[in-house]
Amino acid sequence: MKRGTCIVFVFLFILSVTSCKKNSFESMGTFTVNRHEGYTEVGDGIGRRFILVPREKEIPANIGNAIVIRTPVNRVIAYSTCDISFLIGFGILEEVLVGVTVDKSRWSNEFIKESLDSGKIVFIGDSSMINYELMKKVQPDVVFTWDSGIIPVLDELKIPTLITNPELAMGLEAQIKYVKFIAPFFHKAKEAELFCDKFMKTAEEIKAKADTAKERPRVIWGDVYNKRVLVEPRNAWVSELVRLSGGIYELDDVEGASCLEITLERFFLAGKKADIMFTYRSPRTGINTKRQLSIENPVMGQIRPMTEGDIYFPKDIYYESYHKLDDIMMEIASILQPEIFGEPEYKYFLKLK
Amino acid sequence: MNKILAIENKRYIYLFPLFVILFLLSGIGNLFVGAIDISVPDFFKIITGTISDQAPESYILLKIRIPRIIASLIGGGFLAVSGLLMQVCFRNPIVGPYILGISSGATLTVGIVMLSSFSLGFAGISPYMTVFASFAGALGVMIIIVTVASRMKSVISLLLIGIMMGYIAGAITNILIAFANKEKIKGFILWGNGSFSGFSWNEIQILLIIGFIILFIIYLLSKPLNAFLLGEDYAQSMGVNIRFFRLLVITLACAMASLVTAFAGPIGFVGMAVPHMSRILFKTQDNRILIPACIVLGGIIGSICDLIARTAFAPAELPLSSITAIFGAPIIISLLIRRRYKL
Repeated sequence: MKRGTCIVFVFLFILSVTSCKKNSFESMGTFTVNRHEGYTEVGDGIGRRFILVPREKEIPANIGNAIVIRTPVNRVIAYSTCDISFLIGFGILEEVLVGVTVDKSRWSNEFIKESLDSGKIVFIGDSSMINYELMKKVQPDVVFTWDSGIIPVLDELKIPTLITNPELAMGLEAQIKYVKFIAPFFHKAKEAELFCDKFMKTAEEIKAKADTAKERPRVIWGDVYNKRVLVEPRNAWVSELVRLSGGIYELDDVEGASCLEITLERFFLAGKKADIMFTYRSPRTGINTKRQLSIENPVMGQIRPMTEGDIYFPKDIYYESYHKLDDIMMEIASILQPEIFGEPEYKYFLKLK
Repeated sequence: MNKILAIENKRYIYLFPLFVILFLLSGIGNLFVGAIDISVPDFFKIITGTISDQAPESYILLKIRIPRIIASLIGGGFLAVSGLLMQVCFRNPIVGPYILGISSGATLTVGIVMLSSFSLGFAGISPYMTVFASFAGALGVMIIIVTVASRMKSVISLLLIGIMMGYIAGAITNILIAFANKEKIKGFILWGNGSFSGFSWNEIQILLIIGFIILFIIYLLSKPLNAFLLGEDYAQSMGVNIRFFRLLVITLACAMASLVTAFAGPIGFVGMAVPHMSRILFKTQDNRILIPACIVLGGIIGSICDLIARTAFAPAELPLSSITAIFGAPIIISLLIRRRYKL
């Protein structure tokens, strides 16, 4: 018996050792991270391969056409406020962020505002009119962007460029894990794990509590424009979160890779049943009141969130707070189920009056 | 003249009723398909008020679906007639209603309103402002073109000036986009895709009244248009005042295209392709036949494309201009190959 137990233990030990040596592969939507001995291989939003090699280590052989980036990255230009929020979360924003494509007036973060004034962080131009000379002058180690159109120019300038559009991380799990894609560039894998655990724990907590909900509010989430509407599909992370928080997502037949246009008829039908609507239209985009929304699109005047329910929009800080995804998830849950999660604090969302 | 313009056979006698039936059928067929399928008995109950107008199906049918169907039928027809006039005026088979920069002019002014309204102090943009801006932009370009046309003899020069106008308007729009807030660009891009979605009854009334007045004038011009087909010298010998006539035709074509663009955004292909379809199917160059043929065929194409746009990947809505091109181009190619039609 003892001999048998010993054999089992030895077998398990060998298995665990070999599995540790095995590559640790993770995917989050279209993003991938593959940890190897001495280096990490990542795939960006459009599947391009990058090899992240610590500065003190040698570049491995046989990496094919992958682009090598030395880590930890010290100078970053980032397009997305989401990516930048993770730099805040890792506590390295002050050291590594050197360029942005969002001008000072649209930032909530005081450090970024001040740094844009002092020149510590450079506004390299709006995303549609990038100043490449300035970008080269800033000398970033890497550029995080959602615009694949700039890749040829930056390849020419020998600046490694990754497509990091977090929208490509569809689904709640992918959105939660997205931080793990950013982390290896800054040697923050452990911190990313902690973030993930925290986010995941919050999601589980929300689910456990929301399962006890007596009533399930019906929710729609989208953008309203003149004569047209765009909505979040059923596979978006926010739709999943609505279901997780004990809500019913009324547009569960819509599937897509991002916010997409649907017919006014379908929107009207969903809106007639909905109690709550989330919209990206906000004072930032010229919409301050419910009335303005219904002027913009008369069908809006007919839906329940407009007449009897509530319409919420994200505050500017929402876009810079992805590192607080647990907080955001909890606030959405509070909006949907105030009896279970308590009254929302309205840190990230506001009600349209 | 009669020989060239002759209706080789009397196919229009049976083709017209056939296409009118198809026109009506495409509209009627559209009535019952959508986010909710409405049965024939329910349709009559809604129309007669047996089903309350507060019921969702009543709102969908009366306020969303029927205006959209009418808009697609009429809008398609108007764009086709506008294209026909342009092709006759410039004696060029590849011109359409937007060749003179009408769409670009409308896009520019809508861009000014949508992309910069916030900074100009407007909290939100009234949808009527978009319509007004679109019409003003199209009209502005039209006035410039007409002014130039009154001074120019060569239609080719006029055509080139129109194309240049389009480039200028397009370039300024791109500059506006470069400086605009990213959130606002989304709405602007949606408008630029063109759609018959969201038409109100007021807009339908405007479209019908102004459109049919213009159409009536155009039909009165069908004889001189026929003379124009045979060359300006011939038309002049027939007593047509060339400069004034060209000015009038361009004005009417631009007005027709502007009217549709103002409410639906730029919708490509219909105006360029439908006149060719009409010529091929009716085997004639006679504008007395082609004008009504363009209305009917344009309406059929417009409503079928709109049906595809809203149902092919329902509930997702596809960009209408993409559908008109994907659906219409193969038809033109096959007609050209089979009928050996000469442009």
